[in-house]
Order: sequence, then C-alpha cells, then structure tokens
Amino acid sequence: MIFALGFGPLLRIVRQNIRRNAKHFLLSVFGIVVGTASFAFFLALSGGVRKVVLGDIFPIDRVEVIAPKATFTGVPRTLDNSLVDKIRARPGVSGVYPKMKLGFPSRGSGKLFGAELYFPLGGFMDGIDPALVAGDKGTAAFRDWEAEVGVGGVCFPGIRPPAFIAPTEAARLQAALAALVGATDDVKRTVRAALGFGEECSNLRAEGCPADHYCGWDWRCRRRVPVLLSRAIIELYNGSFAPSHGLKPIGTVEQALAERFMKVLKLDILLGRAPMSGIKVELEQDRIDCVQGQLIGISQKAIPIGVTVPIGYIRRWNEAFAGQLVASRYSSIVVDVREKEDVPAFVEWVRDEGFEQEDSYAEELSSAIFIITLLFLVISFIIIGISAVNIAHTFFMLISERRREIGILRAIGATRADVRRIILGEAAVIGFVGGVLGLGLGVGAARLVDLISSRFVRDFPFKPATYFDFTPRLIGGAIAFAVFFCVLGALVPARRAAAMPPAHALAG
Amino acid sequence: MVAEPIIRVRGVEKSYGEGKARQSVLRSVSLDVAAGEMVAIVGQSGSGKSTLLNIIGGLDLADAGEVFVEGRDYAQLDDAALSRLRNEQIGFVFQQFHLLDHLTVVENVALPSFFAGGRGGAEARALEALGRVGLRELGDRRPSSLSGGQKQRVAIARALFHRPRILLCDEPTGNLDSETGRDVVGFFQSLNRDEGVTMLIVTHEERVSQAAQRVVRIADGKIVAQEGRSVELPPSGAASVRTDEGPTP
Repeated sequence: MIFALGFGPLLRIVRQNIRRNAKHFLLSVFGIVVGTASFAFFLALSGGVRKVVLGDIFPIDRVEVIAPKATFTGVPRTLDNSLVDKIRARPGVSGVYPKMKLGFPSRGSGKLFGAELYFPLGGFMDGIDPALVAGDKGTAAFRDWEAEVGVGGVCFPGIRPPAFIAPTEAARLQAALAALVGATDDVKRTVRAALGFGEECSNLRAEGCPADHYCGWDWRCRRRVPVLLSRAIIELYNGSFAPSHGLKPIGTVEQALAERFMKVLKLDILLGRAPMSGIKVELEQDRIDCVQGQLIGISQKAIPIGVTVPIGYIRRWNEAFAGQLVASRYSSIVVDVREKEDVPAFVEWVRDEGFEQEDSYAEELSSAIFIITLLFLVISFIIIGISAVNIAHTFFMLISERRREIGILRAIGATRADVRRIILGEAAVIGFVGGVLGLGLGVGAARLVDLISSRFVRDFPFKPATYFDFTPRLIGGAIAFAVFFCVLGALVPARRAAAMPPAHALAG
Repeated sequence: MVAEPIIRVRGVEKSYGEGKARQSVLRSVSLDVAAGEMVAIVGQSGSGKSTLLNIIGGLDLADAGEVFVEGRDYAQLDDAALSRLRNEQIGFVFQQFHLLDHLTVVENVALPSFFAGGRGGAEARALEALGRVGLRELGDRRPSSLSGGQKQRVAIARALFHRPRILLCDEPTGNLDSETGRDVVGFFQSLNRDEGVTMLIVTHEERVSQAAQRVVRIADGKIVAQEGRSVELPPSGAASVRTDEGPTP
C-alpha cells in the first residue's frame, strides 16, 4: 500500500474534516462514549472485585493445606515440619507459611475507649509466619521479638495490692515483692497466686521497662506481643458488639488504622485459663501466665475472628502449656504457587499425600466473575457495535456529501490508499476522542460508586476502598476498543470512497 | 520540427451502463498531442470530449485502447504511479472550479503538496502560484468570498502549483463572463507560449478554440476533424491530422 500523503498533512486534513463535520459526528461520538464508559466501568469493576475476591479473600494462586478430618486407617495425618520441607521442595512453590493455633485455653482482655472487654482466645488465636504478611501496610512490627531480640532486664514486679490491704501495708508488700525479684519462677508464680493476682494480668506494671514493653511473669521486661486483627473483627465489633454493649464504634477500618485506636489497644492475655473453652487438651501442668499484646495492624491474612500473632510465640506457649507434640503440629500450611496454572497439579499432589485443600471457592468465584464480566462485556460490545453501525452510516452520508472533494483530492494526486487513510484517520480520531471521554465517564461513575459506598454503605468484611481496578492495560484497552470499533465502522465507507473513479466523484 | 507526442491516445473506447442501457461514449479514438502544443477539443454536449480528457488525465479508465502520457503507458501504471503522475505532471482546471470552501485560498493552492511526499515550502510556492494569476493578496480569503473569475484563477494557481508540463482544462470559461473568460484564455496562451505548458482544453466556446493551435472536433464519440496549425508530429495513426491552416494563437 503506497501513501503519497505524509502523516502531518494527514493529520491536518483529518482535523479540518472533523472540525467542519462536528455536528455529524456528535451522535456517533455519544454512542462511542457510552459504549467505552460501560466497557471500562464493568471491566474495572470485575477487575476490582476479582482483586478483592481472588487476591484477598480467596487468593487463586494460594492453597491452604489442612489435615483430613478422618482417615481410612484411623491414624490422623498431621501437618508438621517434615511436610513443610516436602512442600517447599515441590516445583512451582514460591512460599510456604505454616499456621499454628493456640492449643490450650486462654483469655484476652483489653480496654477500649474506657470499656473493659473480655474474650476467650483458646482456638481464637492463630500464629502465622511473619513472612506471610511481609510488605502489608503497618505490619513491619509483626515480628517474633522474643526470638529475635530476647527478653530485657529485670523489672519492678509491680503487682498492685488489692483494695483490702491498707496503703501502709501495701507499701510494705511492694517492698517485700521487690525483694523476690531474684527468686525462682516457681516462687514468683506461687506468690502471685497466693496474693490472688494470678489471673489479673492488668495488674502487671511495666515500671522499669522501655516503652512497648511489659513486665512479664518472670519479672523481666518483654516487648509486647504484636497482634494483628482482621477487618472482619473490626466490622463485627462496629456492627454488632459495640451497639449491643453501648460502646462507641471504632468507625471505618481506615479510621481505626489512622486513629489512636491502633496505638491504645493493648491486650492482656492470660495463658492457661479461660471462662469457657471447647479445647480438650490435657495441660502439662496447672499453670498460668500473663503476657501483654499490642495491636499493630489490620490484615486480611489475620484469622477472621480472633487475634493473630507471630507463630513463634504460639509455638513456645503451646510447648510450655500443652507439650512438644502440640507445638509441632500446624493447623494448616499456606502455600503460594508461582503460576495459578500450577495450582491443580499441586492440589492433586496434596491429595495424593493424604492431605486436603482448605475449601476454597476461588475456582467457582473465578468462573462466576468471568461469566458476569462476559455478560457486561457483551452489553458493552452491543452498545459500541450499534455505535459502529452509526459511524458507518455517518461516513456513508459524509462520503456522499464529500464526493466532489474526494474527486478533487484524487485529481491532485491522492492515491486510493490516501483516501482510505483520511477517512479511517477521521474515524480513529473520533474513536480516540470518544474513548477518552468514555473512559473519563467510566472513571467518574466508578468514583461516584466508591463515594456512595464509603459514605452510605456500612462496612462489611473485606469491603474494599474501591470496587474498581483501572489498570494501565484497561485504560489503553478501552481507548483501543473505541478506536477499533470506529475504524471498523468506517472501513466499508472508506473502501467505497477509495474505489470511486475520480471522474465520477468529480461529476458528483 | 519533429517532436515526440507528450500525449498519445490509441483506439480508446469507453462506454457507460450495462446491457441494453449501455451507451458508447468514445469509439476508437486516437490522438497525439505534442509537447508545448495547445489543443482545443470541441464538440456538442455528450459527444465524449470531457470523457476523453478524463481518460487522458487518468481520472477515468478506458475500456479499450492505449493511453501514453510522457511516454508512460497507463495500462502499466498502478494507482500510486498514476496518482504521482497527476500530482507532478498534470494540472486540472474544471468548469466548476472545485475549490474546497473550508480551506483558505492559499491552502487550496498548496493542497497538491500534501500528496507530494512532504516537500517543504508549500505555502511560499502556493503564494508564488497565486502571484502568477495575480491573486497573491487574496491568500487568506475563503473561496466563497471570491468572484467566479477569481475562483477560476485560484483553481489555475492550484493546477500550476507543481509547475506541470500538461494542463487539462474542462470548460474553463464555462462559468465566467466573457471578459473574465478572455483573461483566462489569454493567461493560458501566455502559459503555453512562454512556459511551454502543453494545453488540452475541452470547450464549446469559439473564442477558446480560436486561441488553440489545433482544434479537435468530436461527435458521437469519434474524432471527426482536426484543424489548425500544429507542431510536426511523427506518424502516429490515421486520426492524427496535421494542417497548416487554422487560427493563429
């Protein structure tokens, strides 16, 4: 195909033609704008939903391996380090993150806006590998401090005397307790229990310790255990717990993250006791310990209902309270697979090994999202297809009007390809303008939906800040989509115009 | 003087329509035009003179026969080559002027530069062409604001933009009053005489044909007579007639 018409002159001719035929093109552009807007809007919506559902809720490239609830032999399968190593050696596996549940009764309590909250933790406390949340916002402090840094120096025992002890006696008692700093752990525990403070973890002061530390059961400064909560628990608190207990709601999760809530919520965790617990574990010894946790962030990877701490703490506590066996068993193993195409083969291997995959609706949801996206895309295609027909009509009409003009251009040296290029160029520019306007409309509509959602829709688990995902690929694709359909619509008129013998065109 | 014909037409036939509606417009027309010659083609409406001009200009295709312009056989030229020939070597002047109203006068004149592969200085050359027809000062005007004579002169300036060797004119004075028509014809004569531009003018006006060196008469799609003084051409066929009589340019 040979063009005599250079790109610069082509643009000039196209610009002039569009300017003088602007009225004709308005209706066509309107269709393109609406079609592109719906295309971009729905594609971004499905992309956004897909991102939340398959990225956060049910990651499609992530498999959670669990032990089967029953086996043919009756011998339970356990998830332990040998399995972790085996999985790690599998091809296509990019990350292995074991999870461990707290395997004995315990209780948490904390003060939130002046209200004392108590909640059971046995079964509601998960230990996860800090690597699993690495890179997530606000999770830098999610580390096993005691394993990495160790415990600090001796702290003042700081047990606040109960009210029935007179102030003068209290001072003496404090002094006596201070003298016990060097005593053995058993003596310390016995004294505390004898004084009736054993289960009152909030009585532990952190005097003599740096900030973010508490005075542990062994009267040594320990960094508070970093705790992650899920968005779901915040939303549950706001939606049900706070209203029924006359408490102030935290607000949105984003507000909770931004406001002091994150810094003030300290959890006093009593290990070894709980008012009620479904866990049937024979404890190694009748023992209780107080530890203090500090909420450091909100994570989608945290246990939905409960608190999540680095796995090292859980492993140590399980070992101390429930024994070595419990401390060596994982509740599940999260496995990241490099390519989602590798997931089926990995899941098959997991089954062959006698384990199961935690129920994931990723596949089903993926299919559902695909079908819904397809439906929306078909609608967009219909809208823009009608616009393309409209574009074709407009160009047929314009070519009929500009017949002589085409003849003149041919007489002064335009090739057939030049005529085609002029018309297709006009169509492409109209498509581009329509595409950009449509994209703007789509993005505007998306922002409006997000705004309405943030202001008027109550928080729900995994509620995203935006429902839309306008990727650079989508933006480019939407504009290309508009240009493509406009050019497609103008293709036949352009060919017809180019095929006109110049003499006939000049004759009008 | 013996010169190679710049235009050579051999046995050209052209008809329009299909089946019973088929109408023969040109019947075995042959014609030679020497370089630098000014030829008038005359005949009644529908005689085929404009069709012959269009075929010579490459604006229409002959059903049969051969057309050579500047030694190039149209049958061997593809669309791009034919377009380039029109752009560089042939200028067209039409009765209807065929100017584009959405462009200024100078843009109309410079329009052929758009299809000339991006040669620079188009505006300066357009103004120069306008200067040749005496309209340099009207470059910024729109064609709609010009008189008929001015429009035709702008169309002539556009035809001359690339300094073509051949100017094909289809009833160039048809829409002009007699005085303006005379001016245009005078300009054509000077162009032919001073710059050696070969001119082929389709007309039914006596005064235009009188200005030509040779007059070719067409009736019912056939050349029925050629009269006038012509530069000498090599033998080229029965239809090519050379006489020493005829109007003096």
